[in-house]
Amino acid sequence: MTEVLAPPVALAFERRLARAAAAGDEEAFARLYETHRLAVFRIARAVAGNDETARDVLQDTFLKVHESLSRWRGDSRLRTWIVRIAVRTAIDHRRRAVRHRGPDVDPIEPGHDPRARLDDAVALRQVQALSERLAGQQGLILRLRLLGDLTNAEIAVALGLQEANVRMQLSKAIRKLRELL
Amino acid sequence: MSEEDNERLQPWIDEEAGLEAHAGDDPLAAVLVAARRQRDDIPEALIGPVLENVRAAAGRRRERRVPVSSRVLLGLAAALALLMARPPLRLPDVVTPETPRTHILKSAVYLETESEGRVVHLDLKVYEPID
Repeated sequence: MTEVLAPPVALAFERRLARAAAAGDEEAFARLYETHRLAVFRIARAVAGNDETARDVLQDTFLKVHESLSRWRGDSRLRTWIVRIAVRTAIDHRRRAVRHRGPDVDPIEPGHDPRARLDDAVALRQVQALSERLAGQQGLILRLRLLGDLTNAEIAVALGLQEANVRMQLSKAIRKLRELL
Repeated sequence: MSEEDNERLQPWIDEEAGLEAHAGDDPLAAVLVAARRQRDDIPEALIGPVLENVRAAAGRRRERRVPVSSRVLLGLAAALALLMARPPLRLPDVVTPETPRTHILKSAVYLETESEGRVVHLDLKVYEPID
């Protein structure tokens, strides 16, 4: 609902919802979870590369949201704030996983949806594997844009970069990806 | 591949258009589009029960935090009271405003803390007989 409302109204609505959730209103928190869970899971899977870790990231992200909602100042969209927590949490989980057992991606499977094609699963695996070979943050930015479904502005806020820098990194990532493919 | 191939995907990089338009004639666009299709395959079972876990974990953290702090405060208060009383500790059976002035107040500690929404008061007073 919030997406179709004018920004000031949407912000006021989000503030009310966040205040209620922070005060212990479980229904308000559930509503908040329902609204943002898919976005958080996409980000988590894009960064972590597998469902199991992504689920941990989803849980950890909303636990952090639950604990710090009262500190959300409400001067930006709630989604922006949650996305930033999700990206940072996912990066932390990934770092831990890489330190312990190397990059972890799901085996090639057609997916959970019976309509999903094996080609799609192969493509996803291919993008994940190739993005590991990109320099600096290019791989992460590409995965957040393509698989996390984030805008350049959201990626910039989450990673503390300028939006123009994100666009440039993405351009370089595409160029390199074409060479690697 | 030429620079033109990369230029074709620039609108997607700039967030102005989808990749789908080029998936037919650009192998990279085709791979990206297919990967994105797979991205959206998220079953409810993966994300549904997480909310309950979050609530349970948040509850456990709260439980862990409050009683521990209460116990620490109570322990500190008791230790402080004992230190200030100097043994041997002799307390009257009952001390009320009507109690004959046979004892004097040696030390007093008052603490207030909150646990699970209940306020816990701790009022420790140590009296010493008047010689």
